[in-house]
This record gives sequence, C-alpha cells and structure tokens, in this order.
Amino acid sequence: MIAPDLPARSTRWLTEVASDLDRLPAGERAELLDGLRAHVREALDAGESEAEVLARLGEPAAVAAEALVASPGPALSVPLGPPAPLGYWNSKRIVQLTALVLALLAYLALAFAVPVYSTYSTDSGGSGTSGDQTLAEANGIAVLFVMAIPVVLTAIPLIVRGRAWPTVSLVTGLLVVAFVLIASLSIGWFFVPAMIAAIVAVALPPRAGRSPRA
Amino acid sequence: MADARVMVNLRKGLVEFCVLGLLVHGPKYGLELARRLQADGLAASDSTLYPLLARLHSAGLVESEWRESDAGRPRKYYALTGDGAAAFAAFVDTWAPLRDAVDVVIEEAS
Repeated sequence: MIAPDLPARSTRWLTEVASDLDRLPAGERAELLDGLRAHVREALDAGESEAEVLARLGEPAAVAAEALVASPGPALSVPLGPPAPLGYWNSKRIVQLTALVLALLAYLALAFAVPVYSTYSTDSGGSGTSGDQTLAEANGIAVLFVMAIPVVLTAIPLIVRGRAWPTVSLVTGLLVVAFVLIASLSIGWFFVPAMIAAIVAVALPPRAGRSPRA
Repeated sequence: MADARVMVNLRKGLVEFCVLGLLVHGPKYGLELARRLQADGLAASDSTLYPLLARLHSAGLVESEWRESDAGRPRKYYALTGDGAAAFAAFVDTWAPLRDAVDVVIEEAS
C-alpha cells in the first residue's frame, strides 16, 4: 500500500509515480516516494484541498521524468567521486598483450634465430648443399611480411578502445587461429602460444575484475 | 521575463545547491522547502524538489527523518550532512568568481 492514510486521488497519483520509477535505484525510489507522500500529507494538513495539492505537484509522468534524468549536478560528484572510468587495463587487455608478446617472440625466432631449413637442398646441377638456414635466408624478405600477420593481428585489439573493442578482439582472435591453421604445415606452430593467449583473451569478459557501479 | 528555456537550463545545476544552502541553518520539512523554492522562482512545481532531495540523500549530502512537529502529525525533515555542508561550501567558492565573471561580460555587452 502506497499511502494508507491519504485520500484516494492522492494515493492514485503516488501509485502512478511509483510505477514509472522502476529504473531508479531502490533506495532513491523509496526516499523519493516517502518525500512525496510526506509532502501531500503536510500540504493537506496546512489546509490545502487535495485538488490544489496535486495541481501544484504536476503530472506523475513529469515527476518520474525528472527523477530519471541522469543527475545533472556537480554536487553529487563530491561524495560519489567521478564515475568509475572504463580503465584501459583489465585482465582481457593483459592476456591480449601476452598474445602480442608471444607472437613477437615467435616472429623474431623465425626471422632471425631458428634454422627452419636444416636439411639438404639440391640445385639444378644436382650438387647438394647442406646447412642451416633461417626462414628469411631461405625464402627471402617477403616471408617476413607474411609472418608479421599474427603480430599485427594480436596488436590491433590493444589499439582499439571503446564499444568496438570486444568485437575487434573476437575477429582478430579468430583470424589468428585461421592463420595458425593455414600455416600449420610450416611456420604456424610457432604461433600456437600466441594463438592460445588470443583465444583466452576472446573468452574473457571485457571488464573482468571491475565491479559495476552500485 | 527571462526566456523559459534559458531558465530551465540554468536552474538545473543550481537548485540542488540552493537546497543545500536552505538547510545550512537547520533542518526543514519538505513542504517548507518546496514552497520556498517556488516562491524564489527556483522550481517550476512542488514536485521538482523531491527527485532532487532523493538524489542528494543517495549521495549522502542530505539526511532525512520523520520527526514530531508542533503541527501535531510527524513531518519528514531534511538536514545537511557533513558532506553536504562541504559540497555547499565548495559551491560558494566556485560560484562567487563565476557570477562576477558573468556580470562583467553582461556589463560589457550592455
């Protein structure tokens, strides 16, 4: 019961306001309705007619609208503090950074350190040469660009902020997986650790570890 | 009379500080506050006050309690909290230079 001690029209008015306030936090809603109820009581006790009291209060919808506008006043930010900023860093970002680092390590290893071709190659004359060659030595500079693809893919979600970020994370994560699968006959395996990190990052919620504002 | 839209926009951010200011000298009950705001032209209707009081209450700037009054029936009284007093003091410090600056602009324009 909204207001057991108030006349019918006032009770209806309050009920209407109350039903428009679902979106308001419970505590604020209760305080607002209690204040309005007290106001009606006080005005009636002061000798005003019910019609007059309700006319001076205005339309129920207008009251609700006023209550639901985002609090405009700077006063409210004094004790509440600024709204919790959507921080750049969270667990998803950190795992994405891990993916980038792993992709970079794989890239550097492939490009400069690890001999991929350690076998034997024959030239047209039939004479064989054996020796260790890195990928770049064996295939030329162009392959360095191909290998850079997973590095770029893992870097992109770290650059993006805002609403698009979860989607961009998902798309780039899937592309990393696709790259590893396509390249799994050769260099793909080197990027498996980066791929795993990228998949974990996709699975993590965008704001893990940050509790929403009460 | 001032343009209504200008008034609404200017009033919005200021009324809650005025409510805090009205409570500096002690608790007041709702009807008293509502009528004072309307008389001063700070509120369009009686109901403007209550969403605002509820927000100030949630923010911890104002507290409320039902209290016996000489009118017989208990009334709901609103009082300033420590944070509320601090917020009003901060507003006063900001407002005075702002008002002066606006006055200078208006003076130059006229």
